[in-house]
Amino acid sequence: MQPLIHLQHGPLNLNALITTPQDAESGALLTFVGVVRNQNLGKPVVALDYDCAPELARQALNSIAEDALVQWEINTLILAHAYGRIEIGQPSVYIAVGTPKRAAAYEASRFLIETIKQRVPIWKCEVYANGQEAWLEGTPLPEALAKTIGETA
Amino acid sequence: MPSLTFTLYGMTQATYGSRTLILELPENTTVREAQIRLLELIPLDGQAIALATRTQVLKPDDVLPLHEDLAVLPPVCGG
Repeated sequence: MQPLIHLQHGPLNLNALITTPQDAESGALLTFVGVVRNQNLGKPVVALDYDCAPELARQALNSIAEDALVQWEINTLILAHAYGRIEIGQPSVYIAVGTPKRAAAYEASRFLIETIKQRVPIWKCEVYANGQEAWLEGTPLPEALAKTIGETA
Repeated sequence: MPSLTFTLYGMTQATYGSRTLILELPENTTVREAQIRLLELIPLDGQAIALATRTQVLKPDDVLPLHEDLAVLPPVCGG
């Protein structure tokens, strides 16, 4: 099957993404929606500003989808990620997985969101109520190098 | 010496104060050598960076391509 990869500036339109399996073989369609919450570590957050390297991000999402298709029998697969400023309660991530049995859908969905966080070149900047901003720490890509010579991530 | 333009993403942009960084580097500079030079200019407090073209993340032993759009990628945190 061909996964649907969607990357867009601004919040996701869930009505356009929510789907039902087009095949007769899926008994489970599991969807995950990541939304912007109003606090982090006790600090009031008013929005997330996502930065993104779009072409690299699309490639990473495709690669992650291919990895999932190898591991599970998936009949429907949608990965969508937003970038730009996303307000509280607005969706920034959408994952849909259709599989014959629910266990595989749960496993694949968990794999997909965790791997997106580790491999897709997207970055989150929290915007706080007091006007300050902070980039969140993340996971270095395998090719990354830190300041100390010879120290790789 | 060739002049290369790097697009900075995430915290590298905020730390350097600009979306782009122009650096003169000799031909046959490796990605690792460029990473070290860039980390001298972008004080990231121990955060690691990767370099990429528009379509490919580069390995440290690769020779830096001189005629590509280049990107500086700090640790990722999508989702």
